[in-house]
Amino acid sequence: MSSSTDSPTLTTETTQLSPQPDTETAKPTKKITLKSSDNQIFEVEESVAMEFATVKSFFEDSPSTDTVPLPNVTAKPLSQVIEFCKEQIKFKANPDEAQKKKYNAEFVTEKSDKDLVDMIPVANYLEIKDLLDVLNQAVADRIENKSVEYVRSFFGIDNDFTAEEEAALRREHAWAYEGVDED
Amino acid sequence: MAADHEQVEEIMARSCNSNVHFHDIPDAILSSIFSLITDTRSRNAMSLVCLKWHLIERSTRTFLSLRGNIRDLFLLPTCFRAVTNLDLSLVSPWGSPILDSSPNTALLAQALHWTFPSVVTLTVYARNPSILKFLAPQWPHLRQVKLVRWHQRSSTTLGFDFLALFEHCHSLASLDLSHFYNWTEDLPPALEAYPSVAASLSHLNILNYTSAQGFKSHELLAITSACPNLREFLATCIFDHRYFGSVGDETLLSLATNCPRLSLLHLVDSSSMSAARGNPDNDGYTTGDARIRQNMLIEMFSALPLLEELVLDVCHNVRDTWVALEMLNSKCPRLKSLKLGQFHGVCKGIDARPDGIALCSRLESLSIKNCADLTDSGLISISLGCPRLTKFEVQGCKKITKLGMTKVASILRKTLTEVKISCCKHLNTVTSLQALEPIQDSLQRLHIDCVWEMVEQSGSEASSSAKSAGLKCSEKRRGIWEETNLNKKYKKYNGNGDGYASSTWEKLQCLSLWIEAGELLNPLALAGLDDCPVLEEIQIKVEGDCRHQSSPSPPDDFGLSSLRCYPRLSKMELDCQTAIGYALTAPSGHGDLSPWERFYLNGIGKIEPHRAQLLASTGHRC
Repeated sequence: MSSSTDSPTLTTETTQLSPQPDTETAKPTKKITLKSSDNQIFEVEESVAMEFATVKSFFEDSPSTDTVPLPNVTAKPLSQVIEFCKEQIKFKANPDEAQKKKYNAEFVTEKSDKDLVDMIPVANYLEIKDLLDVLNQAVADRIENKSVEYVRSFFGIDNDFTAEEEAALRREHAWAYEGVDED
Repeated sequence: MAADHEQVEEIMARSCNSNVHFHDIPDAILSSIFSLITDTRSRNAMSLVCLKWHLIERSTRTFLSLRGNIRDLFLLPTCFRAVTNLDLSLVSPWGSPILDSSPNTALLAQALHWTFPSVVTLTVYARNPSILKFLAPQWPHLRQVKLVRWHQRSSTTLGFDFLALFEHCHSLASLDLSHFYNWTEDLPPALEAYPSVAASLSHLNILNYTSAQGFKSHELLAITSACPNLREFLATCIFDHRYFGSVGDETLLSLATNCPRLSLLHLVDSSSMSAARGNPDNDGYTTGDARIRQNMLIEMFSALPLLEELVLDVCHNVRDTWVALEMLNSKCPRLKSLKLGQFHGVCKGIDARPDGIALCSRLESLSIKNCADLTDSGLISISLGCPRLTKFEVQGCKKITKLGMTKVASILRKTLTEVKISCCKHLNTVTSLQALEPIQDSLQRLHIDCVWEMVEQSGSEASSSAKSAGLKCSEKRRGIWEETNLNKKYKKYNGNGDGYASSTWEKLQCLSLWIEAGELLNPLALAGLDDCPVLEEIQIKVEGDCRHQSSPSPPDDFGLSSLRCYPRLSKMELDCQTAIGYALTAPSGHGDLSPWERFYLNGIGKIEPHRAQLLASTGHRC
């Protein structure tokens, strides 16, 4: 269990291609089954599953099980989260900050707004801090420099201010108004 | 706007069948998303979305630059309680002491404390010492303070401006006096009077933009020996040995020994602070040499093993510096950023064998200013020797040419994203841009000078070729204007047969330009900068003496409208502060806007004003 995070993920692939005499790295990777709330089954390598702190602690509590039910998680965001974690493990084995940054940026830019919002509770529930940071930044970037109306419809939020309250808020903002961006 | 609405509808349609609502996300996560947004306008908009957003926004707003009239300060809203970084330097009327206007000064200071209880970073216009006397006790836990004052110093005893601050704020870590007018004699006694505060300072900025005075040698030593724990130190000083208190190599060495933990050191000669462009035609050597010997420089470098960023802008010759610079790499292993002014012989560049500065292989940013003997082969050795450079600046280097810069650009193609070429005799606008062709698709920030000579000469075979030097300025301006118009037509007929590479500057976001007073901006696109799809920001600095030019007549204009060709342009700064004398040209009865102001601002309406934020600082130096 504990060795799983340290051992490089690519070992299985390399052993399949060219069988190495080194027996320590040649052990077959254990697969773990994740079950989403809509009863989809995901088989992932153990090292990937251990990126999810929630799954990891589940295993630590009951090591005999091999299917982890994830009642709060639907299939689509889960598949995207798994995709992200697979890449992260590659970067862990082979650190390249610039490449990682590039991948993270691409990962969020190609996602729709809904995908991002859907993934946040999943990343939070599974306690994947790296992904959560990336997602938070992506959502923040999409809120920045947008009008009030745009943001409301973006997130499906209803205006619950009275006209007076809104006017009062705007008066408060007079103290914070900035004509020019800081450099 | 129409596109916005379409997008909105599309999003609405999508969010209908969403099974996760944004508000299902836990508040802790929403807070951390909100705290990533710093832009004030976005924040104001966010707090108007709904009640929940309003609460989260207010609890995560940590920066506030307070606006409003000082007479209304008692009306301050108490909603910004989470603010830790408060800027009080911009309340209007600008420059007035913020507390003196009220009869109950102490009460108002307390009100500020109640309104912003958690401030640790404060910027304040401290016109007189009494402001800090009232404010400093309110926030005893202040860690970063920036004082602002352009106004004359009040006639108090030396260092009195700082006493209240040092007395009440014992955990002060950072003090920024770069925009605070004071005498160089003020700071040392104040620091000496409060040794514990001085010892806790890790950042001190006395790189003063408000006065022409530089710190004298003994003052620098007094300051640095009072603050032995400085990590970052920026100061203006006097390197000219003809002046009393000039900084020589012994001072540099003692300074380094006083503050051995420095990771950032900027020492800039006071004459460099005016930031005027040098004369590109002189030979690049000043009349006097600075008193800085190579062996002492090496000793200084060895005393600063943690150095990451170094600026030595000396303004007087430091010769044959390659000996010392070769040691820099081993003495300061963390050094990433280096700027040298008036250092000669930084790199001999013989046989393309790396020497001098080219041995500093870890540098990520390098700026070479007024190096009289830097050659093209020197440039090549530097770009071979420093493969990590992302930022490269050359300024006032008379011997380098297009060939050298092209080599730099192609060797450092993979890393370079920011380039400045300024005041180099052999590199005008067109040749600079041509030299940068290898990094055209990766460059993000660029500074060039607008020197059009080549555009005029080779730009148009169609129009009459050369302009004789004797032409009157306004005629010359007209001439260029017509010429560029002609060129545009010419271009239309000939497709791309205009002789200039017109490929795209794909990632260029920020463009900074220097232009001489009276010159036009129009040829910019023609010079090769016509296709910049993501260009967001332009800074234009106009320099020169308008009094020597004939007054511009109405059809003339600077050419701001030509910036229309940049579709994403949203921010422009037009800086005419260093253009001398054009307020004097206002004709009687037209005192509101002088012909020169008309000249510069004409056409500004054409660059989509609803998107453009404009920061025009038109000069008031006459």
